[in-house]
Amino acid sequence: MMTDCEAGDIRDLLPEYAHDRLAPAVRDQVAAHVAGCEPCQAELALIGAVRSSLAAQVPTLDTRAIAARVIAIPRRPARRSWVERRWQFAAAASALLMVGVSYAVLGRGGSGMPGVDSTPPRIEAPSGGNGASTGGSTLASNLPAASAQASARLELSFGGGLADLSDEQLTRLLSEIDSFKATPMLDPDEAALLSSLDTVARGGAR
Amino acid sequence: MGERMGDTEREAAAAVDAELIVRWHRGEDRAATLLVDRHAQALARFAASQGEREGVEELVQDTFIRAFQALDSFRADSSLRTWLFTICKRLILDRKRADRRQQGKVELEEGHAVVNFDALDGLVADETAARVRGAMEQLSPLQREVFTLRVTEGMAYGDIAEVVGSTEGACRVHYHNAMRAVKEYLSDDD
Ligand SMILES: [Zn+2]
Repeated sequence: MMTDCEAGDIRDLLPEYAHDRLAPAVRDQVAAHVAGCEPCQAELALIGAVRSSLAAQVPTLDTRAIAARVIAIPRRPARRSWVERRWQFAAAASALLMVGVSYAVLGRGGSGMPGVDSTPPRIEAPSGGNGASTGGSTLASNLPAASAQASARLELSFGGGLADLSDEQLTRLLSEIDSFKATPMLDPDEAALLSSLDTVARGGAR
Repeated sequence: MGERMGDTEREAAAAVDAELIVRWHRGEDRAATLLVDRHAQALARFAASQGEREGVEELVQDTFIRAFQALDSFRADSSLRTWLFTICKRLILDRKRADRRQQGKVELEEGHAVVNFDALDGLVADETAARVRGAMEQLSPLQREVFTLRVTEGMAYGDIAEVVGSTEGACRVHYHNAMRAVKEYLSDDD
């Protein structure tokens, strides 16, 4: 009979750990715990078994055929969608937060993300962009060069420049984005756990 | 202070999706191909995990067609993938209802739709897979949705809540209850 680990907060992160979606510091803390915790090892193995069992049931799709059907859908004349404009506003509004996140990433001297090219494409903010995107570029260029990744993401987050990418640049960007997976927002419990983990990490590893 | 990478990465992924949508509107067919490539397989996994076997591809295709027809109603503060899952889930429910009508079965409550995993028998030869399937079968449909989105996609509770129409807290409870039920099923099986 599998028993449950009493470190419920760690246990709650196991699916994201299995998908490698945790920040390096948190990932390392989970790994350290799992190394010495049999219930968590068993749960992780179970997650892996469920994941591969379900994946084995999935047929390989003919995505070209699906895309062909989509392409046949009539579309409106070319225009800048409000989705993008709205998204740019949202990005500008969260600018300060993201600078903070980037510095947090840099501040831990992150060992870099797996499978990510160390020289991501530089995305220039469009000339004549709005105030926020100009400000964003300035902030991004002030970030230490140690994390080209973080600054690329920061610049990316200000948008606009994406529209002017060549196909080659876009393809490269897509593969880069795909190499780090989307991760969830924090809720208060997790935030508390993670900040305590970070304290431990600072006191220990450094 | 957030310690996960997630927020900026999600913004970046959302930026790429948003840009591809704009390019599609502009007439660039390749943008649609890229969008399908980015999300199709995840939708297929979700459909299969909900007991869909026949016509998974058709279901995924219908999901994209619905989505592209309704792109103007897509809100950029939701992730495109989460929105696609939401559409896919609705289509699965519609199908189950239609199937039940066709088979003249008693209309069941939406929350207790029967999933026919027998259709998978020939495909799941592996014993572990068969046991996992058995474990999944005894979950409620909502538990199964939450559990598979978390386990096979690594989705955050907030995104799962959006797909299944619930709250983060409830989804966390459903996940852990499902995990407990799956463990119990598998250990009883030993
Ligand atoms: Zn543990």
